[in-house]
Parts: sequence; structure tokens; C-alpha cells
Amino acid sequence: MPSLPYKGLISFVAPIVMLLALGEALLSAWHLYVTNGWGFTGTFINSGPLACFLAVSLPCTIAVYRNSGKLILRIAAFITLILSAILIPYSLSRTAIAAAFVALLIFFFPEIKKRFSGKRVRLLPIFSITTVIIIAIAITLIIVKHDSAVGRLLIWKISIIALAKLPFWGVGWSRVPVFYAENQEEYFASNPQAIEDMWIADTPNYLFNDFLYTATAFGIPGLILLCAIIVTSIILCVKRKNYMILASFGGMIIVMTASYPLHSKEFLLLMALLLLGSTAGYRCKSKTAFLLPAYCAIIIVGLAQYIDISGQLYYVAIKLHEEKHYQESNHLLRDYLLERVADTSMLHLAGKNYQKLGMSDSAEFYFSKSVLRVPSRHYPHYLLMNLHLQTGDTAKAISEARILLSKTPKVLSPAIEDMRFRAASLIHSTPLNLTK
Amino acid sequence: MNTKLSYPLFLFFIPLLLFGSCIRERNGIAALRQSVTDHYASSDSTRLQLEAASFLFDNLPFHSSALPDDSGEILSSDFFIRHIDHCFQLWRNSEFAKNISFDQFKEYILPFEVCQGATPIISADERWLWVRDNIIHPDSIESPDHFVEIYNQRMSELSPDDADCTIKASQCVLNMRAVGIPSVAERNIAYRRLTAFHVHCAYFDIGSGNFYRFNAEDTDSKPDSEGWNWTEMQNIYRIRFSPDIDSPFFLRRLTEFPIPPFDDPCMTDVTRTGGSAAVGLPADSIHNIVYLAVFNRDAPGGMIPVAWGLTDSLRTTASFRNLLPNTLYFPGVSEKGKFIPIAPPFMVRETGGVFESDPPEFMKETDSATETVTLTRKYPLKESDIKTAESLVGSRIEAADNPEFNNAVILLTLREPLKPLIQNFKLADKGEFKYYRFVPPASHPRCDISILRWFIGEEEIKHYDGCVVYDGDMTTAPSDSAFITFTLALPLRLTNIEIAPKNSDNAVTSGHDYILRRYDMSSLQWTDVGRAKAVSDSLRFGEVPRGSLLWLSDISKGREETPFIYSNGKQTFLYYDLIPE
Repeated sequence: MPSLPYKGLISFVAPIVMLLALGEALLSAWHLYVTNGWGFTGTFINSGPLACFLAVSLPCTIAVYRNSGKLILRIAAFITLILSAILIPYSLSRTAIAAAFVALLIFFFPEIKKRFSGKRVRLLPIFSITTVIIIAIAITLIIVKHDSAVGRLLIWKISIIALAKLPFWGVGWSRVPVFYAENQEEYFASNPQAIEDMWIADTPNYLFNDFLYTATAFGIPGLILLCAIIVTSIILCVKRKNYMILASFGGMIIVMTASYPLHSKEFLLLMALLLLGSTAGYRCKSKTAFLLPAYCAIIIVGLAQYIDISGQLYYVAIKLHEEKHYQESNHLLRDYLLERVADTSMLHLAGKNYQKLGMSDSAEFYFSKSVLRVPSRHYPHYLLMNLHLQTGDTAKAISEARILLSKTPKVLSPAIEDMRFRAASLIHSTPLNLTK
Repeated sequence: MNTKLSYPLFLFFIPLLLFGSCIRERNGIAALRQSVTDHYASSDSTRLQLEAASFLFDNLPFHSSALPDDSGEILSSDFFIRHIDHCFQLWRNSEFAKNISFDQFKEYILPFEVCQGATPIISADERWLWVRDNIIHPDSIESPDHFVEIYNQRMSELSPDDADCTIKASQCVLNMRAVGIPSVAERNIAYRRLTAFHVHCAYFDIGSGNFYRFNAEDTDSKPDSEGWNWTEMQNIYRIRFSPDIDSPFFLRRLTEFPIPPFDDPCMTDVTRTGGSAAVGLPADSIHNIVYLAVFNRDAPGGMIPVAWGLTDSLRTTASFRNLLPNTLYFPGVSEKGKFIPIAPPFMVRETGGVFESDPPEFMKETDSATETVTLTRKYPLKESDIKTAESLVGSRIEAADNPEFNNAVILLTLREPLKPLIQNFKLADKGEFKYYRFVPPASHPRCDISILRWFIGEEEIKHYDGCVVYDGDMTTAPSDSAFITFTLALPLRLTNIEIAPKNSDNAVTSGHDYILRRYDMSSLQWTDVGRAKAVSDSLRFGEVPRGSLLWLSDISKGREETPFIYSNGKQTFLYYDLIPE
């Protein structure tokens, strides 16, 4: 049975996806030009998701180039392909490279199969050499971006620990980062020897695995629903031999496994188009017709997550602190921000409010939470040092000063030098208890 | 095995194996630590052993010579476990160690290295056996002093060669720890006058709470808790196993490289005679640390840092913990690990226990006038040289016609102390003789003569019998000889001698090349005034700025040099005349 022909819904979805990819690729090329090759992001926050987007779009782009009857679309697809071929490897994104590989493999599967049909194929050497090449590339990419690889493993490890605590109900989409961060605090409190993990840990807004994120947010039922949607779409594609959309889904699954596409408007739009494309070849009156409104509902729910007022509220909380309304600032933090924003600046502001209110124990609690949440940072130790100096607990202040001085910063900055200098002054001005 | 399968599998496993070996390499120390901590983590009763193991591993990065090599053969988990177990046994049972705190135990008993790379890494139990077999049975040690006495005696017999003090001190400290005597090594970086550094030992006496300092493998050295810090010694630093947070290594800006040896954080200033003071110095915002250097002819730029302080937030003053009075300090900062002066030198004055800095009066260049200077010495005359010369008063030159010197006649008697130079004396004319000799006075029967030459008129009668008085070296003498005899083939009438007492050879010497430098108060550097080859026992340099601090450097021979001021036709040296003890 032949593959799904390039007409109808496919000839509508594929050019849209290709044009989206072209827009991102051109914007990235412009970034490369103005930064002298230093960086490119498209409309994303970094080059990784951009490369993933291009990788997932590749099957549609190739399909347009090969099948479109309009010359202008074919030229556009050609440019997109050239730029994708440059930008995907240049991003050094392992996820994007893997997604592109899987997408291309699925897309060209019918042709590979056709070429080798009736011939005696030496599968073993082909398989072995391919495996060696893949492993070599993977090792190179892991070595080149070692911290990133280890960091992702840490996030998955802690995510699974977190998920195990609330496997059925989840904590809600917007509360996942804080839930993760609190689990990270517990992990470091009970594993003080995890030096390498402490070095790479941060407060991620994503878990770099959207299946895990969905499971943490909505529990196992939520994960099952997400998988059901994808599996249904895949089945629809397989039945109609819709290799273009199937290939893009293959790439998308890879990206969802190691990145955070569900947090990106661009990917949500792409996902919507792919879901729409997966229904190609089916009649409107068929049993699958109910899927279209279901997909639309899911997309609306997905987009609703972007109604985020954390930034504005944090600004208000800072203003309240500056205007010495410490109680009010803390109300805002406790009631909303600390529940939804994992960034340690929330903890710092809460601690500072308590410090100003003379509640040093509460201040210490929040500063200490920050220490455990992102152990590589200097600032919470600096806040603790000043807090202990204010309360007259010199021994604890010196202990924090020692940490400040012996901790290697990830990035050198004047602020860190300033904190270190204050710690140095405290250490050097403290009389020695030393037998000479 | 199916041959078709073998090569793809080979290709498949090669990268995996390479990757695996990389991981193993990276995790060598971690695996070693895990193995040791697993050993002690199994029981609550070994909680302190676990802490001790953590102490060793936490601080191992500061002791690169103690880190295992690629093969992991230097240190094994078995090494650590044997070492830690032995140290704990000592802590429980040793009369000298059982009352010390855990923190003291970790620093004074547990570490298996003192000065980096000075000694091989040997576990305490193996050292205990070595001491038992070669020095004394540990059960027979009556006191730390007793051990030091026996140890120094035995070591001077076992290894009489003059090894480096760093090695001697490291060995001694590790051997003392291995028999349960809490001990450390300490070092200074410079002396006021000597161009040297030194590492000595100290044991901790829990009874008095004091450290007793002594020199390793020196039979004359007795442990002393009081008088070790004498004026000559610059700051003393205790060598630790754990780093001291109050050190330039940690207190510096991260872009600031500490000047060696302050790049080692495992040093704590334990100078007893110093005092703390804040000194006004124009530091900048890219340096947290200000170093104080002293003159040292071997150091780059003639200055070696011996102490350090921390700047204040305004960068106008720096606070120092242990400043020594009677020392001329050159303040500076580190530029990529090199000392760069930032302000004119100063001295520290102590008044009633308060230490304050003062500009040295003697370094004020009064005007821009220059003068011609005549220099005779690069270093002041030492007390020992003066005493040697004085002890030779009464020495005489005798002549005889028989080797027993029966009926000898006296040709010369030294009535005045000799100068530390080669001096010519005329001999009395009492005829021709075959035998001549130098005879020291009865009150000092030692031939402390470094040079002795015999002449007939202008012609030197050469003599080669291997005696050191003929080697031309001012620092050597046949001191243990009763006479210096000169036997001729046939009787001759000698008319003169050239003679010099044994001395430190710091006078200007004919044939040596010299550089005269002055401390330039504008560039804060030692700058060259001129170069010259000596043709007599003095050197003349013209156009020397009047009142400058000068430094005469002999680039042909010798290391003893010290700065001086030239005034009223005389050299007045820094730590002898200008700054008294």
C-alpha cells in the first residue's frame, strides 16, 4: 500500500510547519550574523530548543521540497533544509541531533525498505557501524557538554524521587518547579557528600522531560492521558502510512524526553499542527472525528499555562520590601510566589523581610532553604553571614564566611568578589585562638 | 564464537571501554575514599575514624605529592585504614597524645605528610617499626625531650650527610607522630641578615600547652618553648595538613595570585614576637592582599615577602597580624604571583605593646646631590670574624734549621688584630733558614688563618702541600692544626708574608665583579648605579645620590650581602648600624 499522498490536509499542514521552521532558521541566521557566529536562538531562549524545533520540522520541510507544486515553496523549503543542516549540529544540542536522526530514519523508512527489498542485506555490519558512530557522537557530545549532561541526569533523578511522593494526583502544572526545588533541598540535606550534584544544581523551571513534568503536575493519570494522545496519533499515522507526520512525532517524542517543548508556544503550535496532520486521510464523518475538538481543547489548556503573573507580583513584593512593608511583602510571597516560583530570589526576599522584622529564626530558615536549593551559590551564605553578625552569633557568621571563601564560584563577578572581601575582612579581624 | 559477530562486537565495545576507563580515571580518588569510608561507616564505634578519614581526604587536594598516581599504587585503601587505625591506637595509648583533643589529633598525629614531597609517603605503623628498629623502642621513650635527644643522636650517626632541613624536619615530625608524640614542622621564609630559610620541628606538650621547638638531626639542639624566636628570624609559619582560611590563598581576590610560598594555604603564622598593626598603604581595588617583603639578595628584585595583610574596604590601609619591630619592610602586592612594591619601605616601632609604622629616618635622600663613594665591604664584619682576628693576637712566625724547631727564632709577632683582608708583613732579617712556621698564641691554639703566602722581596715562594691556607679561600682554615709549617728544599732568607684571618669573605676582593644598586624611592625598585671589577680591596663609584640606601652585590662569589648607607666616608649597614637588634 502506498504512503499517504501529498494532498489535502498534508499539503496544508506541511507548508505551514516548513514556513514556521523557515522563520526560525532565518532569524537564527541573522543572530549568527550579528553575533559573529557566537549564538543564535530564533524566538526561543537558547539554541537547544531552536535546533529541536528545526529537527522536528525536518520531515515536513523535506516533504514540501520534494512534493510541492509551487516553486516558491520548494525554494523556501530548500533554504530551510540548508539552514537546518547547519544550525542543528552547530547548536551542539544532543536532543536535537537525536531527534533529527530519528525523524529522518522514520521519514525515509519506506524508501530504505524499498531499496533493499529482494536483496540480501548485510544488516549486521550496517547495524554495528551505525551503532559505533552513534555512540562516538553521543560520547563526544557528553564530553563537550559534560555539566549539562550530568545536570539533566540530576534533574531526572530528583524528579523521580518527587514523583514517587505524589504519584496519583500531582501538584498542578504551575507548582512543579517549586515542588521539584523542595525535593532538591531534601536531597542535598540528606546527601551532603554529593559534591558534583551540588556544583551543577540549579532551580530549573522545566524537568527536561515533559513526560516526567506532566506526571509530576497531574499524576500518573495525566501522564497516561498525554501518552494516549500521542499513541492515538501515531496509530492514526501508521494506519494511513502518514510517514511525514509520524517522523515528526518520532522527533517530538525524543524532544519531549530530553527537553521541555510543552513549555514553549512555538512547540505547542507545532504539536497542534502535527496532531491535526495525524488525522489526514480520514473522513470527517469517521470515528476519529471527535479527536479534532479534543486536540483543540488540549491546546487551549496548554496555552492557558502562559497566563503567569509571577513577574509582576515579585516586582510588587520588592517594592513593598523597599517601602518597609515587610509583612505585606511576605504575605504576597507566602500566598503566591513561594508556591509557584522556584527561583531562590523569592527565598532571599522572604528571609530579608523576616530579618527586618527581627524574626531571625525565620530569616535563617529561608536563607538556609536557599543554600540547600542551589548549593553552588554564594549569596545565601552572605545573607546568613550578615544575619548572624546582626544577631551577634559570631561563630556562625565565621562559619558562613569560611564557606564563602572556600567555595569556587561558577562565574566570577564583582558581586562575588565583594561578598568574598567582606567575608575575608571578618575572618582576618577575628582574634585567633591558636597555640603559638 | 561466530566470526561474523566478533568484529562488529569489537567495534561496539571499544568506545564503551574507552568511555568506561575515562570514568574510572576520574573517579580514582572518589573510589578510594568510598572504600575507606565504607570500612568505617559500618559501625557506630568508628565514627571518629570516619571523621579522620574524611579529614585526610578533604585535605588531600592541598597535598599534591600525596595524591595517588595514575596506577593508584602510592596510596591504597589498605594504606589509609592501617594508618588511621595505628594513629587511633596511639591517641588512646600514648602517654604524650592521649589527652589531646580530636582537632589536635587530626593536625599533630594523623597527617602522613608534612612538607610536600619532602619524604616518601609511609603509613604510621610502618614508621613505628622503623623507629623501633633504628632509633629506640617506642615503649622506652621517657619523654618527648628524651626521644628528640636519642633521635638526633642516632640520625646524625645513620645519615651524617648534610641533608636539607626540610627533609630532616619532615622525617623527624612524621617519626615522632608515628610513636605518639604530637608534633609539627614550622618554617621561616627569611632572616634579617642571612640569605636563607629554615624548617624546624616542634612538639606539643599537652601538660604545659606549649610547643617546644628544635632542629631535627642536630645534636646541639634542645627543645625549647621560650627562646626560639630571636630577632634574626622573620615570621614563623606552622605547616599544617588542613588549610588555614585566614591565608592569602582564601582571602585574596579570585583574580589575584598569591606569591609563593603564600600560595600554599596550609601555613599559619605562629610568630610569637610580632604585633598586629594597621598600616596606611595605597592599595588598589584589584588586590585584597598586601605583602611585606624584606631585603634578600637571592630574591627577584632583591625583596622577598615574609608577611601579609588584608586591605580595608577603602583600600587605604592594610591590617597585619604579626609585624616584627626592627625590620625594614617593603610593602607590595602580587602581579601574577610576583612581588611588586607599592609604597616606600617602612619600619615598625613598638611602644608599650602597641605596634606602629614609621618611615625610616636613614632613608631620606636629603637633596639631589651626588657623591663619589669608596666601598670596602658588601656585608658588615661579623662578631665571629672580629673574635677570630682578636684571638690571633700574639701569633708568631718562627724559623729554624731543624724540623723540630729547636732554637727557633721569632721573625714576626702579631701585636694587633688582623683585618679580614690579605695583609703584608715584613719579617725580621735573622738569616737563612730551611724551616718556617706559623704558631698561634698559647691562649688560642688554633690556626684560624685562611691565607698564608711566603715571599722573598716581590717573588712568592709557592708551596703546595694541600694545606687550606694555600687554596685562596678566605672562609677555610686549618683550625685544628697546632702549626702551619713551611719546609724549603734549601735554606733561604724569606722577607715577607701575606696573611689573612679566617673570615666570611665579605670584603671587596680584587678580581671580583660587583654591581652597586640603590633603592630608588620613585620607582620603588633597586636600580643599578654601576658595575665594576675590583682591582684592590676597595671600589669607587661616582655620581651616587647622597643618602641613598645602597646594595653592593658581588656577582663573582658569595651570597652574604646587605644594604647600607654611605655617610661621612663610611658604610653603615642596615641591621648592624642603622637598625640595632
